[in-house]
Amino acid sequence: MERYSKGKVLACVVGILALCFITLPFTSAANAGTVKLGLITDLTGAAFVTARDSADGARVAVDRINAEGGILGNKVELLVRDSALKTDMGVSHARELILDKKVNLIVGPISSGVRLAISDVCRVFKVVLIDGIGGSVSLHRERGHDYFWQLSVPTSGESYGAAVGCSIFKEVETMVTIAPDYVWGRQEIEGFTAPFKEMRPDVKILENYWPKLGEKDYTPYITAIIAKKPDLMYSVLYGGDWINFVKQAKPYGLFEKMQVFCFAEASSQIGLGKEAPEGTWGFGRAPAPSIRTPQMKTFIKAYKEKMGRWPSDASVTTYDAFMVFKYGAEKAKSIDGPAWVKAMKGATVETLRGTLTFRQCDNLSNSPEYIGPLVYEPEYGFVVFKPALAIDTAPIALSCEEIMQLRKKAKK
Amino acid sequence: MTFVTFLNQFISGATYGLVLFMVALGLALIFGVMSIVNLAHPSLYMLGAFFGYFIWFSLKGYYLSFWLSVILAGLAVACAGIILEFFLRPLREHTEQILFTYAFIYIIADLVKMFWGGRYYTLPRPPGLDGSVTVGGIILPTYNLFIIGVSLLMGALLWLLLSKTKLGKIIRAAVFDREMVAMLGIRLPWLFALVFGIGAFVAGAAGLLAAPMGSIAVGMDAEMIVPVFVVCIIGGMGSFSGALIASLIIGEVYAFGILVLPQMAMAFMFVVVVVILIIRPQGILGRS
Repeated sequence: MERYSKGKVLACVVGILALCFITLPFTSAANAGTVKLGLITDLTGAAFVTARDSADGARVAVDRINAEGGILGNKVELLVRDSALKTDMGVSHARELILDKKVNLIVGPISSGVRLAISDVCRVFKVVLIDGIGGSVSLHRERGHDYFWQLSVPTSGESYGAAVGCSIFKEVETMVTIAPDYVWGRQEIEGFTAPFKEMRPDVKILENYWPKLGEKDYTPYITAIIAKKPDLMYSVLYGGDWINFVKQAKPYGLFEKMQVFCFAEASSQIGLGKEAPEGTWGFGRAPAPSIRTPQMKTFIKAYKEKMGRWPSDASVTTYDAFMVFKYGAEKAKSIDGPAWVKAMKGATVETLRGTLTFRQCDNLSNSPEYIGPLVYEPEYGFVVFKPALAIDTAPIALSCEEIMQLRKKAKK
Repeated sequence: MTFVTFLNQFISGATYGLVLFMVALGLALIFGVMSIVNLAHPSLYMLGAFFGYFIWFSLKGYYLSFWLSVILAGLAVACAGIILEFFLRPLREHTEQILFTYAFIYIIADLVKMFWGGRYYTLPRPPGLDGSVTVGGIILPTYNLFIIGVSLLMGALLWLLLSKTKLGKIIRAAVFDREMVAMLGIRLPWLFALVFGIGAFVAGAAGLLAAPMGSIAVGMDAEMIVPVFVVCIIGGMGSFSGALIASLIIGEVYAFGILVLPQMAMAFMFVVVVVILIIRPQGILGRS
């Protein structure tokens, strides 16, 4: 066996190192004039469908930005990372994107827990993090900071909008709720119950049902709900869970026996297609087919052409997140985090959903929650809000003083 | 708990259990005859649902489109199963088979994502089975009753195949003495490919038969892996009757577990596994 001389080994090592350093200037040169923007989303696991839609919304946004000349004359490069619903992976990707790839923006992910962890990383390194999905109120309240921007409706606003929607049914005297038994489901019901009781103290909530996330068999819940004979059922089930519930509930005639108010999230409505029950009302964050702005029409056309399917709420809000960053960079004439934040404090932006304003103290936008009757439209092949009523969620937001007190308390 | 709740839950548990039985049948057949541990068997169930959906979509409007789709989906998955068996042939050790088929779970899932994307698909219940029957004032979904019937029929047909046909005799002989069967001029590779194909056919057909009760999506295989193997293990690997008894036990424990404590319904299933394996380590009807 040939023995390698120390000299040959040393020469190989030096050669490899030299190759690395020699290529560095070319790499930098290739990237000069490029702005890197990061999307961390949960492409592996239960949130895959929403994450994929979010990533596709980002791609359509970046295409549009580059077609319009980029950001401050620089081409935009989108870097997508999969946090797989894991906090450690999200943090690791955030650090890699910020320290190695030098991104100027991070958007995402789906999981509020992962987003909380990434938010801390962005705060330390002064990189803008825009939430385009919604979720835990902790993100903009006690854990909020200058570099976190809440573009989408947080859980409190979403459930408040649903409470407004449910309060519309004057003939309702009794109701039940059903939500997946994990943090988000519990927060949705908590956020719904208090405002709803204020709006409709005459309505009695007979029972709260908590099937586990990903439940396959809803029969016991269906038969129990029917046995209670409520006038209204408020459901926060989504995705495959809502599809399973609908398919199993229909033979029992549940939808004919009571009014149903449900989370009308796009993937389950598209999945159900014509099988979606008639007469239901729903609530949603950004129902693309139902928001009749010219910019939404353009976006839907571009999205369908590129992706071959309809955009979901996550596609819309993630697209908006990237476009908001572009707006802010042009306003600040800089992609640098501190300059961007300074320019965008209290700013008003145009989004697919119309004009939104960020609150000065906590960067919370006044995104509306949408409610409305769900009607099957042959043009889409699934139910859409017809009409979509935009509910102002400002009444439920904590005041700036309350936010500052929460943050002070959290620091102790 | 009222009688109505009990009966509805019993039917629901039997339905879930017998869907597991249909999937476990194929696995029991493959393991019983060929001693192959195929972790990717529930992936064949998922493939059956996807193939079946798109076949049905193409045949939509034609008479008996759903039933044709079940058979064609089963055949398509049987072909996929035969291809998988070809790759498994050199692997004799169970550990090798487990690792290899575990990798195939991800390969199949990624292929499904690539071809059909990550969205949810739904299949309507076929005409005539999309309603419910009322018995003594109790509403029972017709399709659930159909699933109970068709899964028992599938089990019976497989049992008949193995015990009353010439092919079945050859298969059973190969279980006991492969060398003797080979010496009689029967080509074992073809025989095993056929057995694997039959097992895959049953899993694929089960995938489409179960689809109208929920959604078709990537991840429906992962939901099945543990329960299906639990059914096979506590029933006794390779035993059809054992798989039937085990699947009914698992289905009912899960269904009534949801009523008692929904978050622990899965855990109750494993309590049953532990108890049965302590009493009979070879499974309910397994050979010691």
